[in-house]
Amino acid sequence: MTIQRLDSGIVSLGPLNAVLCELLRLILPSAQDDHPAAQARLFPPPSGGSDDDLDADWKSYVEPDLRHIFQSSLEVIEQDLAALDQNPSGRRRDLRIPVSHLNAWIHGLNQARLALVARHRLTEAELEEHTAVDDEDRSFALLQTHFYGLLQHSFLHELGDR
Amino acid sequence: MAETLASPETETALDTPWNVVVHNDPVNLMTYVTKVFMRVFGYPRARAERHMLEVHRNGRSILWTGAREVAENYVQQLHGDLLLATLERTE
Repeated sequence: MTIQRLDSGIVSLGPLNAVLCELLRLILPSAQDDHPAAQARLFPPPSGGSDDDLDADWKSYVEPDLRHIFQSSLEVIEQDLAALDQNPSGRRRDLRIPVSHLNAWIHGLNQARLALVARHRLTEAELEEHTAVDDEDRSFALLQTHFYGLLQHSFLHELGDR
Repeated sequence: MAETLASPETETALDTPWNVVVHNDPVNLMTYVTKVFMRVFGYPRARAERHMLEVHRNGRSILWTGAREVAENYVQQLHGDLLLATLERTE
């Protein structure tokens, strides 16, 4: 798979086999805060737990705005991924993303990575070692985290962040 | 008519500057964190990278100090960018 900028202001990822397509499709479900640990990481208390009043107000008045921001990024990704389902299965294909959508992708990929690490309790050592862990689910979550990080890094590079 | 005056303790609390602190997270990419610091605070790349490295090496960095309301706004922006940020009263 390569990532390249096309002249039309589009970034192309491809060719994508079935495995890569599935990893991309898993971005959205991975980014959900349906697990307490994921929710705690995506919506951390602004006082770090030292000011209950501040943290409670934050949850009431700021968290809804944050949820809207997070959901907006995921909706952009979902829209771009819809093109993957329009091609015959089993054939190699490319995913084309408008450059104007890259910030949403970077944000959504980050959200997925943070939620995966929190949900599966991946440690810093496991993230740095780039080795499989014993548990199958955690090992796959680690694979996703690294792949989404690769995409995030590539998109940041496309936007001029060296 | 008697005036309602703020107590000395309240006045002190209102005047006390607040720190915007960013904490380390092994997931966030260094390039991403630097980009966020540049955009949110308007810092040049060199300063943003200095803070990013401080977070990475020391576990935290004070990104900004000032009025509480502004500090809250910065923390909200940083949370919107999925960074671990808190605000704390200065010593």
